[in-house]
Amino acid sequence: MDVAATRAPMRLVTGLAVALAILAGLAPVLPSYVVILMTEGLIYAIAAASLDLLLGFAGLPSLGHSAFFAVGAYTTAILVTRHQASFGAALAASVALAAIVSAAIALLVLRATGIYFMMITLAVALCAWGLAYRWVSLTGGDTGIVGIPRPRVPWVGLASGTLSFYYTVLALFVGCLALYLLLIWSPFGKTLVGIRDSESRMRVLGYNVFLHKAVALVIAGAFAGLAGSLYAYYNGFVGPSTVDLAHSMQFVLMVIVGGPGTLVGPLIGAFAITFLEKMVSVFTERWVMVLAAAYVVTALWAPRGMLGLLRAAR
Amino acid sequence: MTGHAGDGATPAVECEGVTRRFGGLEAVSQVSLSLAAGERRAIIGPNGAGKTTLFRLISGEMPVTAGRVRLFGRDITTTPCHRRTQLGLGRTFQITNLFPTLSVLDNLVLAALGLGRTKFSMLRPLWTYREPRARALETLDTVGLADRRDGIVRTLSHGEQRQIEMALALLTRPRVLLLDEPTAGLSPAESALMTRAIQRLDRTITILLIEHDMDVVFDIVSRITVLHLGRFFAEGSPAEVRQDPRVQEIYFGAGEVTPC
Ligand SMILES: Nc1ncnc2c1ncn2[C@@H]1O[C@H](COP(=O)(O)OP(=O)(O)O)[C@@H](O)[C@H]1O
Ligand SMILES: [Mg+2]
Repeated sequence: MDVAATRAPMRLVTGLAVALAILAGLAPVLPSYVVILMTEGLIYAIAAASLDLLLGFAGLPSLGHSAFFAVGAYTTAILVTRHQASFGAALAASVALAAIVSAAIALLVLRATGIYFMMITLAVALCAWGLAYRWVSLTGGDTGIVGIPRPRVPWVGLASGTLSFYYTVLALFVGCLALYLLLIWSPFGKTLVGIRDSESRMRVLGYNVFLHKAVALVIAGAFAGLAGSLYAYYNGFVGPSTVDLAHSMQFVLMVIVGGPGTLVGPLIGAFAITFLEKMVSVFTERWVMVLAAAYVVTALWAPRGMLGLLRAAR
Repeated sequence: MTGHAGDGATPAVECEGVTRRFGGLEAVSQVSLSLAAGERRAIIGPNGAGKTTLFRLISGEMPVTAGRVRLFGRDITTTPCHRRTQLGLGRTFQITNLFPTLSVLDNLVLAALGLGRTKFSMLRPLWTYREPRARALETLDTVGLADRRDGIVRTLSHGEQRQIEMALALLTRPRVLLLDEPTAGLSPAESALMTRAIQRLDRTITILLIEHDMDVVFDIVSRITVLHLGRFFAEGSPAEVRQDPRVQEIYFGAGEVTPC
């Protein structure tokens, strides 16, 4: 065991523990609209971090992440409103289905690399939106699926209040975070970075690059499905607007603005963009333009994201 | 390791009519080549002769257009690249091909993980695994880069990167090693060190070496195969090949000033 190698991870865990304690401790004294936004921030953070596994770690620039978010959101919406599924069952089904869809899509998109990979994943996102819009019998079409109740959580009961739902999401977020950390520190996580840096070298070292990428896509898809499921409970409504292209772009932006390949950066990016959206929408309808501007500013002045800026400032 | 090497009849590497076409260009054309186990052979030829492409066909980075490739008698023509590595085929790159954003140690650890099952593990941090780390550190010592272990590869000198290039290949425990211009871009002193390192490799490893520097070639191999315009051109001992006027002609004809 390499003691020196554990120093940076230990610092990271300490920092995250402090941040989580603040997130947990502050909520009761904050106005409820802020807690609601924090809930949304946590859900998007789960999704953004899962995209970071692809974009930042494995170097797979997926623009189709909203598709897996959509699978999770619709699975939960349908199971809960039409089949009275429990919280656990809805979560599990959402994660499982997102993973399965992700595996099938991996077979398709992994035939391409670079810009072609981006185009195919973009097409996947558009297909997801198209299905949500057109497969009316399943998705409710334009009307979407309304009236998704808040979940009934073990030990808590009905998490209908702002705070109880927030803590439910926070608990799941902590679980996801622990799994993410384990993954990026694991041998498998290191192989993803190796693939990002040089696929041809990985092959010559004996790695089945396709397999590693496919597993990464399935894992990322499963986590995005979990985020989508929570989003359905959070929003109470799922429709084509939940899964449109702007959503996919927003995930990408959270990762890029936060700092790809850092895991923590995208978490910060998810919070920043969630809060920014709500603040901006008070003043203007043109949220997408603001997003685009944020992207240009990041690309020009902070190519490594906010985390990169913070590190440079130290 | 020696199971096959002891069987003198079976060649370590065998190419039979290997051909690769890029559109209208036949980069490698009907090349047949046979290396005995433990043999050290050089491939020379002017730039664009198809040497690197031939390596890619042997290592499986690129499919052949026609022909067969065999490794210790086993037909690997359609075996994927990573499986060929597991069968004992290692290779270095002419253009340095490392993991630039990772530390030297992590580069070597990834190489050490390539052959085992640990590479799929997601349950424990990498630094808790002893075996790949120990092998990486050992190799780091042998290439003399122990003091650079935490350096990010991108920031290392070209000479150091060429050493890592070799170290990664050795960590895959190759029985056949394809070396694509290992001394490319090295200073004469560094080049001499690299040559010594190759000379000292385990004699049971079969080596196929692409190299322009005839001094390096002389020090390492006993036979040379010459490629020209994708085709087999000549073969013989280093002395024979150096004196062959036809070989001199293709080198000078291609506008390249090399002492062979
Ligand atoms: N991927 C490729 N696509 C098209 N042409 C290629 C490709 N790789 C190599 N070539 C061409 O094949 C010929 C042989 O190249 P190469 O094998 O790199 O030569 P060498 O290593 O002997 O200098 C060259 O003319 C080169 O331009
Ligand atoms: Mg070459």
